[in-house]
Amino acid sequence: MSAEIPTAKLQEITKNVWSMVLGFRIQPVRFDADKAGSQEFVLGKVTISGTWQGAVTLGCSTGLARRAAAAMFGKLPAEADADEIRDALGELTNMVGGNYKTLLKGDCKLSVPNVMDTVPFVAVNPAPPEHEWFECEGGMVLVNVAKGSPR
Amino acid sequence: MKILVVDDSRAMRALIRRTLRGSRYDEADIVEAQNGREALDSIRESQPDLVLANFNMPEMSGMELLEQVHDDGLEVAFGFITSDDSTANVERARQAGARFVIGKPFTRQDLRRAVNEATAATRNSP
Repeated sequence: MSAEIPTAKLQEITKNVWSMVLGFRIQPVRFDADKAGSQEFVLGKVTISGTWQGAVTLGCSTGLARRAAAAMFGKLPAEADADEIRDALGELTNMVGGNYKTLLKGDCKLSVPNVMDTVPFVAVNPAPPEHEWFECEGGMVLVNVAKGSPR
Repeated sequence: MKILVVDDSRAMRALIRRTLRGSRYDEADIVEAQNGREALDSIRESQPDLVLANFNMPEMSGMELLEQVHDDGLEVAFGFITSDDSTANVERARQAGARFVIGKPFTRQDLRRAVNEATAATRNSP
């Protein structure tokens, strides 16, 4: 993670968004490739441009993404469709990225979120070890702040 | 009472709608738009009592919407619900005439209190 804001603050923002919006408790954990390697993820990204330039990526395992979408739409997980899952993950990313942006000094602009679904572990970008990892409701959440021009 | 909820996220619009439900706004006519341009058409067509808008949206941002509403000479109470509630954005919104800016994520109490105050101010204005 390469940013001026401490990692603990990013973890706090992520926990806050997940508990306030979804009512889910998430717990920071050490990255475990064995545990995460078999999973697929839904990834959302927002970019920040201006005096600080970079990107905030939020992702979660596909089963958890479905439960998150269900919580936001007020329906059962089995009823959440692919569009709703993308929309929900995009909004969660927007909240984490937006809250992160408010901590930055200077004049910055936040992009609208871009979401990719069913990304295999090996294609997660930035690379999995660069993320902060959490466990939540039997699923996994990952978040990363990357300074510099978005890759 | 008619409330227009403007956000590019359907999930967020659903969340706002659910938060207002079960309060005094149970009977309110809550309509939705997914960006500022769609919201502007809706406001011109049937002037709502309150607009709850996101800041950062494709097509037309919440701030551009508020400015356009003013340019059109329309009197509509306006509140922002945004993840990007930086001091600069809050100041900009206030100067443009927004009644409130609530950060995302918000609590049920935050939203209901802000909407109550905004609608009370509208009722009390001459």
